[in-house]
Amino acid sequence: MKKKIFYFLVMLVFISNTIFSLFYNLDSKELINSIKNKQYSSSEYKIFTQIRIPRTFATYFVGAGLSLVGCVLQSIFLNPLCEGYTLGISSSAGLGVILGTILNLPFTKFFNSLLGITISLVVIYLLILISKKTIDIGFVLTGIVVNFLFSSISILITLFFDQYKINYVLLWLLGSFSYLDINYFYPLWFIIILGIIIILFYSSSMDIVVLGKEKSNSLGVDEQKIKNVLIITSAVITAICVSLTGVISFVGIIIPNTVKIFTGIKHKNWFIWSSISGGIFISLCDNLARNLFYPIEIPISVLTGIVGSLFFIVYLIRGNFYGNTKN
Amino acid sequence: MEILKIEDLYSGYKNFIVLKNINLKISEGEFVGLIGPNASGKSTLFKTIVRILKIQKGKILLYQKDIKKYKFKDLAKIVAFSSKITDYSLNFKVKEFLVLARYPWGFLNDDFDFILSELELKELLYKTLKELSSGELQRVLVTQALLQTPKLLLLDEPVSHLDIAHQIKILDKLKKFNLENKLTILASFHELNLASEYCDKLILLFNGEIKNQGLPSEVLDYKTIEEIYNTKVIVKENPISKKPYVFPVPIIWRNNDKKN
Repeated sequence: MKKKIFYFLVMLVFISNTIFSLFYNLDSKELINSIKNKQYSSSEYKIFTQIRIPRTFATYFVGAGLSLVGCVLQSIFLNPLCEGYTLGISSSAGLGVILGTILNLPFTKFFNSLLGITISLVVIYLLILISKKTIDIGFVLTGIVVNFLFSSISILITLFFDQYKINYVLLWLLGSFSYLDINYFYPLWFIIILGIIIILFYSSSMDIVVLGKEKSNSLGVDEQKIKNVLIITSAVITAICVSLTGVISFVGIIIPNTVKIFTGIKHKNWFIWSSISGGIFISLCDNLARNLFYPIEIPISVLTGIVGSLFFIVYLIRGNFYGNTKN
Repeated sequence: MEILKIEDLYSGYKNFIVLKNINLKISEGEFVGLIGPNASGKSTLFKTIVRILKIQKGKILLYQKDIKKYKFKDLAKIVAFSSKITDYSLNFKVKEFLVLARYPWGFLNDDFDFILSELELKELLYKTLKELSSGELQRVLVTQALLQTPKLLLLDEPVSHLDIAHQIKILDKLKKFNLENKLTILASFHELNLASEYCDKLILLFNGEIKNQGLPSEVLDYKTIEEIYNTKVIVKENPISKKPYVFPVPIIWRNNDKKN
């Protein structure tokens, strides 16, 4: 019952939010007229197709991707406070992108994100080595240190090579959809979707992987292989999301942990609903960020950061989010 | 028919070998007990059989076929291992957790009411694992291994940390499956007397080597036990089952013994 109400609410918010972000402050009569009369040069039509549609799509995909990555990292490290941001994977990918942009490497933005992917992969595998020695909150602390390290290096590099871009980089480290480059976005959402499909494909085997190496081997699951595939996919998704919008914090903790209360520990359900709700959450946050203090647009991480920090505090007080499901 | 045959096996962890020169045979339908002090290599043997650890030398044959030639999933259809699980998995509900046992079979044939009623788990199905007592959890772990419908069941200390009622309950059920369904079982024990009562054959491991194997009456010889466990014991016969029974002798009584 609780589950059904949750699913219904999510769908309701999804539909209303999509309508809002596509049509808010837009003269819809004018828009319909211009579509009818094939006036593709009208400003309403241009805003709709070149700003509203890509931005709405981007918020959904980035949100879905980031929260799914949160789910994956949480089940791989068996720690509910893991996600791309707290483990420093987002900011390491960010460093890659900034390096590419600032140094004006002879690549397109797409290759800059590849640089980001490589750096973040190295970071994840280092984290895996560390995770064998530290546990729980100490591990997340390592991630936060990594996060600070890479953000600071990014700022340092910017100051050193192109100090006029410092404003842009600082904003970008807090995440914003206003720098979304359409020419760049269209080839990339395809990769995000592919990554999401790969992760969902392995989601039911994750039920067994979280039992530990011994149990998963004796149940016939090649645990190491699945972990590798998922980690690489997560790094790719994170790096692409970061290269599109900058570093968005805490989505990967807020959404998976909340959704888990409703879906239970079974990974397939959890993964699917986390990605849906993650998309909606980021889209909502983006709408707020755009319209709350209009005409000033606030960075999206300011909003997710506030919610996320509250979440962290509640977690530290209550101790555990799992296993409280009853239906 | 032989189900498991181990030849000259050496195995262990990266930089140190635990098991040395292991040779053993297990026939179909046998209930074999693995005994030995802590750190004698019992768990290592299990982990090597299910390929969690790599074989460094020698061979393990399952139905006359080298286990290296099995796919992980095919191996899981024949051998089940009730191993430790991570703390994270304690968030599963009992039912969700048990169903995972059907993974190697593609979740087919979920009709396992029979096994559930045998182990009296039906009333626990909707609890989470962390709500269970250690006896119940142990029963769930054994049940999960049984639900995998293996030919060979490996149990790492299935009854340790349990009171005597729970120990007997679990072992009785296992014996029943062993006799009625011809399930081959290899289980490790700390409790020598339980091993002696329930097992057709015992294997005594010490420092990674097999010290002795055979019928309980052959293996549980007081000289060997005293030497390996480094403690004084007396071995007598259980009057009903005629199996050997090991009595430890506390230090205060040892002097009296000498006087007599």
